[in-house]
Amino acid sequence: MEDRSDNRLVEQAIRGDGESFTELCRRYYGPMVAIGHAILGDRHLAEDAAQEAFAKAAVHLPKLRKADQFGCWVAAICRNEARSLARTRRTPRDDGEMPVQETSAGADETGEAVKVALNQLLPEAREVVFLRFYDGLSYDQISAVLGISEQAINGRLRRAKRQLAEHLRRHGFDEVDL
Amino acid sequence: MNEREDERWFDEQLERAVNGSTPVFDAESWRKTHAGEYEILLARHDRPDGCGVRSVWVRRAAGLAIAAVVVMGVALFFVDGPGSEEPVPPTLPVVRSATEMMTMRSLRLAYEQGGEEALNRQLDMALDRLGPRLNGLTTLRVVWDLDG
Repeated sequence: MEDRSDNRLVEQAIRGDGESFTELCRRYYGPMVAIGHAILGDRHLAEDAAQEAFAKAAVHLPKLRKADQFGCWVAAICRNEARSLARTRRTPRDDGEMPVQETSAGADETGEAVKVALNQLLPEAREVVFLRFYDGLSYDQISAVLGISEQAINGRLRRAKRQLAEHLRRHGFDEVDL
Repeated sequence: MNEREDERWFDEQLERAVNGSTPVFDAESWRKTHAGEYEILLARHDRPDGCGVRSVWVRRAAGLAIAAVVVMGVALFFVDGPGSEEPVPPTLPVVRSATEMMTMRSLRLAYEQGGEEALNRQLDMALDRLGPRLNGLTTLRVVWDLDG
């Protein structure tokens, strides 16, 4: 995500340029879906939350004070939408616990254990894991939506992975050593 | 497994657990399902630079400036306005030379503002500027002479 062109798109979108806003939506759709998925634990609901976030952004865009903060701003809207959706669907996620996805028959034991371990993470940690491993978003893209440095992202990610590994070790996966 | 292999294996597990695949934004579908919101965005196009990030601040600053001017105006009106009971000090005529001080207009102004005392003061000041004078020469006599 190039900051300059993002800024230009935001400024043009604020002036009512629909194409610029659509381009912003295209660029930030992946990260928003990842954020929604981390909260809701469901891909389709996450996409709903991301689209609702863009709808609210379209209405309230003139309130954005700094064009280079668009990613963080729309991410905050998306989190609120996802939490609101979680409450509506009565999924117990607002306190940070992701609803366990249904397991398909024959799913491997390790994969399920990792999913359970992900559920144990704090929302902030789970969000960065989803952003990183959701279609391999770059640190630059993650930085644009979290508003923190790449170094901070790396630190947050490493802590999350250590917690996951610790959880897995406690549940019989002795070979996990990070 | 060594640490690096362990991390790679763990990353693969996480990718599978997250189960992400590239989400594609369907713009057409979004515009249809959120037509109202999209129309609000497009409606700003007609406004002449009325909704930019910068113009929001400019408008706020202009509003604050106007409000400050109004408040100052009201405050000055109550402090110095016609309702004030503070007596306005008489303004003394600004004269530059003895000749100016001795014109009928200047003398009348001094008399109207301060009576005989002011008149005499102004005459004395005029005489001081004219230079040394004889002792016993009255102000009235000088005025006679000046008026011819």
